[in-house]
Amino acid sequence: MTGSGAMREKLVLRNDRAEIVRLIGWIDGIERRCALPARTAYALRLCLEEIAVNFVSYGCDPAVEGVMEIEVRTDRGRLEATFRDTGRPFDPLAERASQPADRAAAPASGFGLALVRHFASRLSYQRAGDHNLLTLSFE
Amino acid sequence: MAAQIQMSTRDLGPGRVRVHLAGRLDVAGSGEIDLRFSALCGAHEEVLVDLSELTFLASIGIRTLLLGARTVRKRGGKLLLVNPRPEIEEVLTVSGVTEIMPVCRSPDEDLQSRGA
Repeated sequence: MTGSGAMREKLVLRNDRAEIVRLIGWIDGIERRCALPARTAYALRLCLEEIAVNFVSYGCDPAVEGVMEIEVRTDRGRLEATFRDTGRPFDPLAERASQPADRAAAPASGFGLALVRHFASRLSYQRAGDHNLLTLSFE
Repeated sequence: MAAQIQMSTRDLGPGRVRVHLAGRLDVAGSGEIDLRFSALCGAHEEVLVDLSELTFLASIGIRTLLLGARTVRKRGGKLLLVNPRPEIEEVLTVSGVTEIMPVCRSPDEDLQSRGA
């Protein structure tokens, strides 16, 4: 999967939209250090951004400080990303947004989770105590 | 941080414009171009958005494009997405927005011969 052997990268984000700048810089660093195939790199960036933006925007009561820990690693040749956050219970697998018949009149948002489900090859979710734990795998 | 996205335009004659996007249309990139892109769409009947150098499109970028397309369509016009890279086209297809924003292939020389 990667051209540089095993890899393990971690980032901790607070529920503040300004944190997205740091997230993007972190993803840039992973891309520089790991020779991922083009489509895998695209899928990883897309899923990291969509899940993290969703968390900092809607994951917590704005009056409460929330934290998301993200880990990206290679495990026996497979690329995985794990998200562990203190936000409200949120299972992206249960959010099966149906595509509206008339997209022209539908809201211009809500595409993110459908994209994550498409670009990740496998997803698993569990509510562990007061944390959400989401794991994505990439081919 | 360096700009995530560059947006340039070329006038194609009355009511027509070509918009060239290069870089990433993500949460940072959309914030940079939202207002200018919306204003362009409000002022033209045909908007050709050249995506050949767009390297990344996230859901918030789809929103930017879609709101522009709706603005153009309300006035009877159209917005076309030209020459997206494979991953970008995949994002558009999965999101189900290509009926509102059709994707078309046009070689550079064809765009140039059309004054685009």
